[in-house]
Amino acid sequence: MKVTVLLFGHYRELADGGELMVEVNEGTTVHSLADTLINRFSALAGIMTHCRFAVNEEFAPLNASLAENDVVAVLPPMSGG
Amino acid sequence: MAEANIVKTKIEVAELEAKVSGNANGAVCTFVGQVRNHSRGSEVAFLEYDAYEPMAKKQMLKIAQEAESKWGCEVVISHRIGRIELGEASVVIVAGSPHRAEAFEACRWCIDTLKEDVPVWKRETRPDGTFWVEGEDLLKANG
Repeated sequence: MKVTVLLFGHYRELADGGELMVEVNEGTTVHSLADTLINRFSALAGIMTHCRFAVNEEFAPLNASLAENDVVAVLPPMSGG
Repeated sequence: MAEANIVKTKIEVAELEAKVSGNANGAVCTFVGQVRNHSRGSEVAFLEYDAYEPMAKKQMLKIAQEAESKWGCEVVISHRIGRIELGEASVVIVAGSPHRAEAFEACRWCIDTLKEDVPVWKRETRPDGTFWVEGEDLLKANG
């Protein structure tokens, strides 16, 4: 199944518009998607320790299961305000 | 009624204050976060803010709603994104309540929580280049 990955902060510069389409197996979790991303892009090596994740615009734990067409955001430490 | 907005132009503080200035409120507390000309020992020329807009707006609304229910006040939050010059406001929080203690508390809690939980990031342009700010880290930007 396909999920969309959105990258933010300096990670955004790794992909055109900060957006990637990724093919994953049914039942994939946020954690295993992050592993897939880290294996594919060495520049994403730090995301597991450095980032929080959101699924469909809500914060999600690493063990959250993903469904077809979910949008997963990789969120480095924020600096708004 | 809690309200949250992400805007790309100047934030009009008085317009936000008017939204929480009903006659039942004896206090209106306003926090303005503005662009500072220095950071970590370096001059700063300007900032650019980027956001995961739909999630940032939802998170800001949740924060405003939670503050309203905790302190029995009215809260409006506005965050500006894009390029912002020195001295211009990047974020404004207004809290109106019958008495001042609740308005002060709500305002402070909203900005502290926003900084942790709202997906917005800034890039600092300084004499030595442009850097993403990610928590305590500064990371050189490419473009």
